[in-house]
Amino acid sequence: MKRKLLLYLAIILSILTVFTLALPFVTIKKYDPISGFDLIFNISKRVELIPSSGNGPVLILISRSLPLLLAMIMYAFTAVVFIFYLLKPNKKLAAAAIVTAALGYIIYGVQLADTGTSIVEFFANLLMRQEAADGSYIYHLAKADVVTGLGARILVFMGLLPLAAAIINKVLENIEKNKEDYIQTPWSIALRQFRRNKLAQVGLGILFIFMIWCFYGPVFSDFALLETKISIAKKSPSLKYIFGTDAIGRDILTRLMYGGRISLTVGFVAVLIEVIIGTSIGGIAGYYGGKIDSILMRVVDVFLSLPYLPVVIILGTVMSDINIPPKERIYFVMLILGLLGWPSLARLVRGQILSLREQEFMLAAEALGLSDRRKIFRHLIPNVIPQIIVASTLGIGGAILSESALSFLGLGVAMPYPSWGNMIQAVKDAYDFAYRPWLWIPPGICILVTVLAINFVGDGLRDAFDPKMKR
Amino acid sequence: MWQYIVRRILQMIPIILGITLVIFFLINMIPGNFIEAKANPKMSAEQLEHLKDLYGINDPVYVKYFKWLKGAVVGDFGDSFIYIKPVSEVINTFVWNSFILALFAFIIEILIAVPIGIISATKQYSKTDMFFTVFALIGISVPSFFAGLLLKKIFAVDLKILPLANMTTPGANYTGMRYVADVILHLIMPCIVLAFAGAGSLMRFTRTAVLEVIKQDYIRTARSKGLSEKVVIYKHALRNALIPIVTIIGLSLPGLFSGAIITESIFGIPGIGKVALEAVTKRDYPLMMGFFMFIAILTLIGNLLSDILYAVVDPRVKLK
Repeated sequence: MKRKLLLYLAIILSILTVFTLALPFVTIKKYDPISGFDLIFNISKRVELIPSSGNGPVLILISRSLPLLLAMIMYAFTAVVFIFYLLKPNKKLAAAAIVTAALGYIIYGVQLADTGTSIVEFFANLLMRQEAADGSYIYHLAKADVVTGLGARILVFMGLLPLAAAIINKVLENIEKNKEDYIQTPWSIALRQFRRNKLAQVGLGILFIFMIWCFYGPVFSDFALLETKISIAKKSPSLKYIFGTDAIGRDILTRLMYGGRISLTVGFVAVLIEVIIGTSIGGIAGYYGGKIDSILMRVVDVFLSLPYLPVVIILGTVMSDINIPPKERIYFVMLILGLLGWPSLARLVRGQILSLREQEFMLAAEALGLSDRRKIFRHLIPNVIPQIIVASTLGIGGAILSESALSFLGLGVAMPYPSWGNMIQAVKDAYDFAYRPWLWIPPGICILVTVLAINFVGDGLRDAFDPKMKR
Repeated sequence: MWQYIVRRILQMIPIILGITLVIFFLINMIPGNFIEAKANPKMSAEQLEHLKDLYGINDPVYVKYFKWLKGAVVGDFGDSFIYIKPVSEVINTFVWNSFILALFAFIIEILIAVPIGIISATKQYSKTDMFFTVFALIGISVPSFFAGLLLKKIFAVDLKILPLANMTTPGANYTGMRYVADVILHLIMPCIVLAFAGAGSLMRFTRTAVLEVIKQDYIRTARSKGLSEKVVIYKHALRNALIPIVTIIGLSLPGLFSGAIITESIFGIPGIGKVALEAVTKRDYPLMMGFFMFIAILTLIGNLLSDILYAVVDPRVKLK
């Protein structure tokens, strides 16, 4: 009965999410607000905006809201999936509802991924049209007071509700099922251990909040990423600028959010690279053994004997000197950290595989005549996954710390793009260091809290996967 | 045992060669050079070229590499461009400042981390354990530059009880005890930063080591024959738990000489880390190479040392 009520609620919520489009998504001072429907019905078209009072330049809006449309399709799907589920409950449909709702929210995040100099760039480009003397039109970037509308902001919260409903539904389903038959698998045991770890739960919560805040928060800000306003430079914290403004008049809170996006992304992608290289090399070395193993392990030894930070600093210097544009530097930082981080993981995977290789199930795999690739990737690596998950979770924290140190030294993510590390560069000005702490303390706290949360989770995962740590 | 050590040292040779290759080509990837970095604008192009020839900057990379390697084999790492002294001499000058700082930090680290780790393990999952776990994880998670800046802001700028930077008060040529006191006062903050960061991981390590031992059968036997908890933990468990701890301490001993780039830079300590950063920014290739080799060899020695220590403290381990 309760489940049915939840499902009705979920359907209503999904449909309501789609209808946030009726609310304004972009509001421009002196012009009529632009709703979400206006944006998605005019994708890649030019819309002329005529000032509501009649006088003023004509603005041209070129909507780039394809992700928004896709997100809404996902939410509509969610509603449909819920309706089907209501008619005929089915395990797969319950999972599908989570996937579609999560995808919808993530795609909306993609829509909010980039704003250059103007808020409207979340959803569209805005041009200003002027008539030249000979009657032709001249277009240039519009200078208008643009703010994201209520709809775009409400969607950040609304979008989470169908997802929450889908997850609660799944949990309730599991609880009902578990009463009937309960099979313990290594993963379900680990999950239960993990749920008991309070610190890990807190860490996961903090991480989730930080991600939502960094990736969706900028929609609540009235400042764009690259917008500068020298008239409000170095303002101390107030109601309007919660963390104050920096040396060229950018809101610190907004930059913290964008910086967090960059720092978190760098951490995740660097570790992804690390895991791909480390697992393959460790797997190959451990499985084949002999000459291949000793050659690969000597390479690993060489990398492990290199002092990490100085090498990162040298690569950062190389990057600065060959004039890589700031936007691409972010990718190079990911690459550098990823390429330097894999050896320890390779060693871990190799050690595990060496011992797994001798076990009976591998003899069975041999007897079945499986190919080497299948044996490595289908039988050996899955058994190492818990260790890889723990090492990579802790690795993300390490990568964020390295990125921040590198950016702090001015060799990582470069201006005008913020990262938590390069925001602390404000201390180079001795007066700012001593008397304007709001310029550099908030980003430092952000790094600390994020990395701490990641370490809580990693620590919890390690305990959860360790059979000796049973409570 | 001796056979093992000799074999390990022989195994190091290809690794060291590999390291020299990687580092050398890495360093030569950096565009710009020492001469251009501090060239006098009045110099003509020919003079610049001549100078570059003199410094050996114009040679092809592989020629430079073999020249360097030939010197390095007999212990000659070339002359530092910045200090105009042999690299080994420059390293010898600055490494002791780093060593003093690191040694103090290391002692504080062990004094804090090992006892807390033991307490944390004996009271697993209690409130005390949780508190110390959070404390240790904060130590691991805080960026050292931020911790340093925060301490400086609080103790040097706001409270004005500790000096802002440097290792001695500039201009005051203290001697004797005054000098020692002055240095200690300057080293308090960098020591705390280094010790806090290191104590976190050492504490976690100690906790795990003690937990592993406590869960073993002989500890249960000790408890069941009625020994007090104190004797069980500090006499029976601790001896075995100390084995991995001693090993890891051995592993980090050579690291005392390797300097702390960021902490030294923030507190203006004239140590090897700060010099290395300066060498990178001023393109002092011989000094960079020397520094990297120094660290790499220290790391290798650390690995060897920890393996040997492992066999020394644990009679069950036989090196072959």
